[in-house]
Amino acid sequence: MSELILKTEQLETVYKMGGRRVSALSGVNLQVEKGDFISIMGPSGSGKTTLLNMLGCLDKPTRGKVILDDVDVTKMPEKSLYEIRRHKIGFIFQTFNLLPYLNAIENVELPMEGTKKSKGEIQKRARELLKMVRLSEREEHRPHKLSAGEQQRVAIARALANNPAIILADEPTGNLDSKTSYEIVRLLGKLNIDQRTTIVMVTHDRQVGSRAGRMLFLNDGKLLKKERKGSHLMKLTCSNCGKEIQPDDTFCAGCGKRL
Amino acid sequence: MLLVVIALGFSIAVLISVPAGINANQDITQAMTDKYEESLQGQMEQINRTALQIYVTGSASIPTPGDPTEGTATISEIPLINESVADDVADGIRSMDGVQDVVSYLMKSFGERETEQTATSVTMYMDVYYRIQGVPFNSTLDDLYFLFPGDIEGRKPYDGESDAVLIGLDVSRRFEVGVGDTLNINGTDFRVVGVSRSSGFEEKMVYMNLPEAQRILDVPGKVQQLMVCAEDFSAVDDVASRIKAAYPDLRVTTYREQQHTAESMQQQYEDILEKLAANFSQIQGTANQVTLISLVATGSMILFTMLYTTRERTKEIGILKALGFTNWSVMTQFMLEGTIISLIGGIAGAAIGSVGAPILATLVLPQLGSNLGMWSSHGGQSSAPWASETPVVASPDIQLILLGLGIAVLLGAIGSLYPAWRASRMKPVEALKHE
Repeated sequence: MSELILKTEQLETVYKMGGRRVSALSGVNLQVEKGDFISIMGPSGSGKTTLLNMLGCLDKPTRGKVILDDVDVTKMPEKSLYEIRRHKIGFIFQTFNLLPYLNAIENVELPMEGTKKSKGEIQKRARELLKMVRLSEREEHRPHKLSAGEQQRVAIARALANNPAIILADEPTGNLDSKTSYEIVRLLGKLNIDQRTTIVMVTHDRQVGSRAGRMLFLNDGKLLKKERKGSHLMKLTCSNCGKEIQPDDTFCAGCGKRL
Repeated sequence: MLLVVIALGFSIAVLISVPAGINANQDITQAMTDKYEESLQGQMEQINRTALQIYVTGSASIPTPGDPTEGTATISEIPLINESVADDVADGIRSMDGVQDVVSYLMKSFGERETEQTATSVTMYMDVYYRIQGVPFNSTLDDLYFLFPGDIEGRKPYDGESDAVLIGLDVSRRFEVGVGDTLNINGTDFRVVGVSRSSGFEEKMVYMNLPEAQRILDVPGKVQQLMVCAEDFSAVDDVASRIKAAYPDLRVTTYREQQHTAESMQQQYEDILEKLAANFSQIQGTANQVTLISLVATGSMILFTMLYTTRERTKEIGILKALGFTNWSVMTQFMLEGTIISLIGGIAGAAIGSVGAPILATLVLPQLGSNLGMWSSHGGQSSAPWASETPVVASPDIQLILLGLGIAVLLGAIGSLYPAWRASRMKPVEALKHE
């Protein structure tokens, strides 16, 4: 039943920094299955972002393989990588990286431009996605008119535009306050549950990381052997009456307690 | 961005204005040359004609007692010039060597003499109704000297046609006569065979055969003036002195000095043409410089602005690439942007250029005729028509405007080519890190 989507084999990245060779990643073996919601945690400088860039075909490793959908993307010419990035991967960045001169819906439409979709289809899809992230009311707003959380929701909608095989989120809550962070992680979790979207999220925030299904730890470029289960698929219960509650609920359905 | 639009706008405006200015200058130079040539030709012709002429008049003016009937409405003879040359003198001169022909004139004005009295002065003036002119109608000189006015309705009287007259327009109106009508002059009926419509002194003229004029003016055998025409310039002095020797009583006038004027005019003409040409090539040189400078300046401006822009937007390039945009699409987007900005600049420039071309062209180009100051300060010759200050009005035509737009777009495309190429080659990771 489990279906391997992304796999790395002995991934190694070495940077040259002023003559010194700095190893950013060494011997990383990672396996991501369809429907996974993985958080990769580690202190800053541990190579989290480097790993994510390798997974997202934004950079090439010094050694090792990145196999996405049974294809070794490290061997692909730059030209074909555009197609991979466009159709197989959805990026979510710490700084949202929306284009400032485009409004919300245009930002979501952007990755679909140049695909086979018609103008009408693109617009329809962008509307659906914005509705999914509950921003239908703000389609015409430019990024600077949106709150940080809203901007990140637009970015999530954009990442989903071409129905990618995997979502790569690089510190998606790094620029958000804790309440908004919680909202964003909950949204990612919801996407994972509702649509079986595969998500790999990099974060240094334990609270956020623990919301994923699997927690992996990276230290000094090495993936630690230990792996934890996150709280993601655990059933949430009301602390008052003990009944099951949904992550989105504000009040307990059983006793009416504010959660 | 705005900077590029402004710079390009100005530059294109200059680009449009300068050739327009050149065209205008060229046109004016040509027009000046043409006008001058025409005027010179006319003057030369005139000089050539008059240089051949010798006028023979009576040596003294003997006043003819006129009829000073003041205040009457009757038409009276106005005693202005005296007829004092015997008309057989004409035959004598005509037979001389080196003489082409002789034309005898007899002219007399008729009108009302009026006095106007004010507290301080008495002014007397003539209201001329008509002038009788007796001339030979068979003269060989008519072709050369236009003895009769042009634009004739009907015809000229024939030689010896004693009852025929050619009248001017004013005479025709005053006496309400046209071709075929009868006009009574000094008690004699004449048939009007022609009416001249040309304006000037000939409006009041009544041309008739010389013997008729002598008869009705009661001066048989007398004429007022002889116009002698020599066969060529070299004979003029000789003929004049022989006339003087043969008829010591008469006054002989030549226009020999006109020759010198003609020569100096020719010289002046050549000088001016030379100066005009030099002036024009100077303008052309400046125009080329200005055009080159503005092209280079605008080109580099676009280049640097686009370089700066792509630097500023490095992160955006990274985002686009992360979203799966190809090098090519990133490059075309930046080039398209550069080109569109240039097009806007070009349109602005075309607008400025078409409105401000006269001013811009004047500012940028040296003035035509600036080194020809002598023209207008040349005393007597200043009234020559070609010397009039013609303002240089540069007006760009549609072709120039389109050319300007084309250049703007081309500059934009070239200027953004390198920055766009550089942008497209950026590594997505590097570009994304850029803040």
